[in-house]
Amino acid sequence: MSKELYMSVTGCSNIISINSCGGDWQGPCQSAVVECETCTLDIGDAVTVDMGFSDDHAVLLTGYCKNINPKAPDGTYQVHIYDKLILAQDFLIVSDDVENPLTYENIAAEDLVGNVLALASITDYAGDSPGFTYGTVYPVKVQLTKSWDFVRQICEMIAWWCYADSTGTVHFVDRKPYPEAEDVSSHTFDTGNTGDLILVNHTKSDDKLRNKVVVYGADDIAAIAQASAPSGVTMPAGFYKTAVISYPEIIDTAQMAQDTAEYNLTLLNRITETITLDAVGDPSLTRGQIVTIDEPNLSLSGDWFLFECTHRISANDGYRVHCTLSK
Amino acid sequence: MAALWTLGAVDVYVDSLARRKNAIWAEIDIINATATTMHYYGAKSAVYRVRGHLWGRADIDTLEGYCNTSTSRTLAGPNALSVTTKLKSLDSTRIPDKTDTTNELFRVEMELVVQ
Repeated sequence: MSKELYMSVTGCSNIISINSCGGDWQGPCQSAVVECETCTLDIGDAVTVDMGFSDDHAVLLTGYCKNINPKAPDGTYQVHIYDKLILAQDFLIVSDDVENPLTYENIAAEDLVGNVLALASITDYAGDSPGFTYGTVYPVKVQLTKSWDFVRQICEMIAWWCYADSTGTVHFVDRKPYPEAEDVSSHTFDTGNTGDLILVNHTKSDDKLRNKVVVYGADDIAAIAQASAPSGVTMPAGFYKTAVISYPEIIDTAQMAQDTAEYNLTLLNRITETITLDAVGDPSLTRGQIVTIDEPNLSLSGDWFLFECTHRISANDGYRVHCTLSK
Repeated sequence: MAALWTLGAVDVYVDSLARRKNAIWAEIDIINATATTMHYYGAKSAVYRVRGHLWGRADIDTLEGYCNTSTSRTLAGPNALSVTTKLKSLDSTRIPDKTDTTNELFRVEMELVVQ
């Protein structure tokens, strides 16, 4: 089978390669590194990265040019592009009056995230509702923190995900980094003449496993959630790997602390099982999807969460994706 | 039989012109597949390999000087041949000649990248 490669990046011509276009679930940003012969971009310019094959390509990244690196003697440019959440990563929230920081009261989680993103000029936002309300006892203070760091805290508390899609819209959703019962697979990695798998590696460990979560909030509020180790992991009786979440500025009720502990126990009390793979490029693949693998040599099968997905095109390697799948 | 061609301002008696053109294909091998997947990236410029002779120290020096700049040079010859090229490499060998004591004879082999 043969296919013709396609690369198009705003402000870049005679593109030589696109590397590492993508990112992982923890992100926050997806990024791309473009090597080209001519570049008319300035720092901060809006950019889209469109890549794939001449008959099957897609915009994989909408964001901003953050770094331009002319190279001698070959006369080429290396351009670094980040998705729109880079604005939230760069924006420090500082009140003009240190005694009067920005506060929010009785605000739904999705609105709180939307407001804090809006401070960083991110207004193309769609937030689902987790049913959490913040600032019911004390106002939530937002001061001396990056916009993204605050959003990440909210996500960590309720085990939700905030990400920018390929068109630049920022989403706030309930997406765990493992397949769930209602999920539908969008791609199958396969071997053989109709397959796409080039290289596969499978790892199981207890690196990220936490079977006890302790949460601290305001006014000595504390909550604990714990459980025995999941099937497939043996631990001594009474032994716990513990995670601590401490947000006294945000958690102001015992119920919120307990919910945070239980959500995170569900998220973290599992074997760290990952597959890393290289496959033939497919522009429809992006982090956060559910995919299926069928690799008989390592007896790998079933649905997995696409934790990391990076695309690259070069003269030597063609179009490939590097993925990390998790369960 | 050699014919008089020119590369830039230098006369060359050309014995042969070999042409090469390469497509750029990435080869991808899928696990358990029985055929290679090919991705077409583009093509390299045509490369002309010219073999011939020239007379005179001045001409060989001029030709070597072409390697010191990025300036394009026109390869012109019979049958309206006129191609813009970059001189990529030049190999030359002086040939002893008893009949012409005023000039030096060089055998040359040049690799030209067509622009």
